[in-house]
Amino acid sequence: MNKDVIVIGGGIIGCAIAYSLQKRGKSVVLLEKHNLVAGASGACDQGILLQSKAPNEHLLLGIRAMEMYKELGRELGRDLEFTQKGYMLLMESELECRVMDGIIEKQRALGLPVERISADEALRRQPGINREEIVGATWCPWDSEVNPYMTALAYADRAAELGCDIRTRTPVTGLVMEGGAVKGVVTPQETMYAETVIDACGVWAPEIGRMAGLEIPIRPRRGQVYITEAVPLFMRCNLLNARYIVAKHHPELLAGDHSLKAQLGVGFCMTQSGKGNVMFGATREFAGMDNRCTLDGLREVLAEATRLMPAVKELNVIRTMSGLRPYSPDSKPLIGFVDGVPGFFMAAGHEGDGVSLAPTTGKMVADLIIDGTTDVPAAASFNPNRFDLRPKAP
Amino acid sequence: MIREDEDKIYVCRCEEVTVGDVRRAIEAGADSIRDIKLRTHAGMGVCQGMTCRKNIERMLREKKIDPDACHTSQRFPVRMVQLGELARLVKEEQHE
Amino acid sequence: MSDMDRRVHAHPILDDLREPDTYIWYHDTKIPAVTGEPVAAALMASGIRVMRHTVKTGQPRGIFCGIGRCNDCKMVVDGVPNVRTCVTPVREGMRVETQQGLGAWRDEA
Repeated sequence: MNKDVIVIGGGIIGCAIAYSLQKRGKSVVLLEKHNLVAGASGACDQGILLQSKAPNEHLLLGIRAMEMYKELGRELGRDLEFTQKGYMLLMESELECRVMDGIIEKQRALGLPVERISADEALRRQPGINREEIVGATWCPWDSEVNPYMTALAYADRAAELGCDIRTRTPVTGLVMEGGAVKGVVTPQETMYAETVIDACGVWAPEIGRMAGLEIPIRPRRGQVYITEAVPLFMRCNLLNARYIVAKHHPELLAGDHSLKAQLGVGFCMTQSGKGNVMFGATREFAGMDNRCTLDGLREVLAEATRLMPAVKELNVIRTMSGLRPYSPDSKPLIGFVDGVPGFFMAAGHEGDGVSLAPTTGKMVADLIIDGTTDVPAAASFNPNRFDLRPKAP
Repeated sequence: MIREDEDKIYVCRCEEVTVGDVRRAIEAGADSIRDIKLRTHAGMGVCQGMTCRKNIERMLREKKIDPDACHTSQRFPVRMVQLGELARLVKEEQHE
Repeated sequence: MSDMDRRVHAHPILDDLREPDTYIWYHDTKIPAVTGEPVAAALMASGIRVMRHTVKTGQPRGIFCGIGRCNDCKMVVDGVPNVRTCVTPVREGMRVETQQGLGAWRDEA
């Protein structure tokens, strides 16, 4: 069988890419070794967060993605549960306030409507917050939410309607290599050929990379989230603690903290879906490919939750989830053709930004493959060749 | 075999998902418990599939789909637990 | 609705049946109850079989599994929604209400 493009990986990234290419007239086959969204995008939270983006072209990228999400439900013909309730970041120390003030000043200069608010104002915005634990907050009304797995399935279903061949339970066991170029893939059922093969496998991207003789520097970073029963709506916006952003941009400031909470990389987030379920998160731990939920993670995240919003101790946890975020050494995804391996295209490594950046990733990949260029912001910073992808000598 | 006129019967009582909803999800391409869960929300309610899972597995087998071929993750808690109880289990921190 | 007496007062085999020694409130009606029995048992003994109306379709639900698993029997108890009445023992003066959908938070003073 001959196609224009083979996409390997059926998470939100693979599905967005398959749709974006099929929409522009390419013949695509999407191969997924288990079921769609079996990886991180099936075990994650719903946030499209702009406040967490670095105040440069990456913020512009985030804003572009958010704008695309506004139209996406209409485009795919499905309610993706996109809402824009905004996120409030809670600051617990003067140090965090100083760091965040510096960041939001730059974000505002780029057009993001983010503002610093007092602790009392935070409480007014979201009753129930523990006033004694916070010294201030930031608020951004552009931060949004979407249903991640529904989005991925909507991308896949629409792609299939346009003619995309989607094969679940179909692992890729090898690549067809000819003179150093990738010409196709091998599955247990058949060998398929295509002009371009895209590795959109998240934490499994290195496995495919090895088949092409490459060492892709993506490591799994586990995130555990916890879900309660549906309760009447009480959350007016979404919450995050600023510690998460401070850790992302200034890890050195938290270097002295050896508590279990710090070891697990706990960054508190809390949201309530339209159905009423409340979700708490999340850990950020390097635990290999182990995607189990742990009692330590549960205890630390929920201890944060009851500290920051005491009333939640009455809620009942019904489900725990754990996903492996694909982390790259500079926390940016690898998107683009790989030098020296014609036909092989990387699209993985979004670590916690996969849902936020799925629409722009889909567009960027289609642009690069069809037009050779893209107007998606920050695209050049995702060039996979910024890393040395050749296998390291033993 | 589940008869045609049983479409309105509830399979997932928690999320109010009917036999017809599950059938339609299978026709739309769902080929695992997890797919059906994501598309219909069956199994996402408070009892987390305790009531509906076996029946959905049976419906998949009737369509010659092996529900065991693709995993759903089995995780704690086995029944709901109050958040305050879990948070109270935070260990005392060791001082360096 | 509620003043039917469906409680078993005499039984050929069970010999430890107790008569109501306390009460709970079901909306504005006082319902007799036996100390220690589940709320749902007290309600059903008075002929009350609808515990809630569902979220999506507003259909009536009552006891289904009776063992605290299926959550069909949940009601608003003393202002708190989602209480499983089949596994919650009565307390004198407890206020029990039919839960509509997810219920509503009682405003704290």
